[in-house]
Amino acid sequence: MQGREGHDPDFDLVVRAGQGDQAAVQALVARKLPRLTALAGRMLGDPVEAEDVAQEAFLRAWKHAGTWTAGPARFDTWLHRVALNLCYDRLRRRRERPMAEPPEQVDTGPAPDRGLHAADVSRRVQEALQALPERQREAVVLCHFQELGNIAAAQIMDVSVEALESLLSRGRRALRAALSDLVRE
Amino acid sequence: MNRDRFFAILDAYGAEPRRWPAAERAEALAFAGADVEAGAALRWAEELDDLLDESRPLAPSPALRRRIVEAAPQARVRRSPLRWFAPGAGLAAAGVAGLVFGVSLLAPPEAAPDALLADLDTYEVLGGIEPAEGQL
Repeated sequence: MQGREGHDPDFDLVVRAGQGDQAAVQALVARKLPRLTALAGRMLGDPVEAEDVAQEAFLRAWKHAGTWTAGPARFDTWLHRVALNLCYDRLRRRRERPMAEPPEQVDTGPAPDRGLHAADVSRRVQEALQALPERQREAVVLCHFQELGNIAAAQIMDVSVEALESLLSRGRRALRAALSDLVRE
Repeated sequence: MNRDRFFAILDAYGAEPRRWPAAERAEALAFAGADVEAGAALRWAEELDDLLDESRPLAPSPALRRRIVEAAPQARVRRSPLRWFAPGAGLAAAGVAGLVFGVSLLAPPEAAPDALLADLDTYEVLGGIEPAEGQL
């Protein structure tokens, strides 16, 4: 587990959390948990599994926080990699053991101020994401939804920036095709 | 920055400049302002961005947040080597001393004072374990 003091905005919080500083724990959870849950939700399309992944990723972070040292990778990058590996473990298990029923889709219901249309679009986007090949989905989730830079995303996916861009382009084209009826509205 | 590269950036990263590669962002923005076809390409990419942004993220439940916080590292409580001199330990030691003194008054005259002191030393070596109720 690595971080870079002076460059990693989470470094100080991680070190303090590792020492048992409860204010740092609360701040780190507030900063990272929504991002991790969103990431796992978009990758897995299942809220229960997504929460399990987020919890497990944090348990691993707590395990290593006490020995966190400066290094080339940021904490956020490391945490994304951990969470994505956990997602891939679950996706692999799904392939090996086909489910009788598809997982419950991530949809928290229509927000009162956005109406039914927004909820419908949200559901369609989630379905289109789930239909993408896993690596394309991962690239789109990291770069579009998590808003990671291309270098960090490529590092997490262990591919070159050129390969990342290829995955992104194919993913976005597939999404556009799947959502074409909504684009024309 | 040429047109092919600008379109490749839109194709991969969409229309929002904050998602573009940092090293090429300034050049791509300048190209977008100068090229006649850039505007249409930006709007095309923006249509998909807008749809994707309609997708609401899964929010963590309060129960999940609570479980994670409860599992976080706890600060270690360092025990001072002076803890044996805490008021409780002092009182216990005084109690034992009183007990020893009381017993000595009842003890046969042949009990040597050194043996009583040795008992007290034994208590202190054992770390100030409080006597059970009724012993005092």
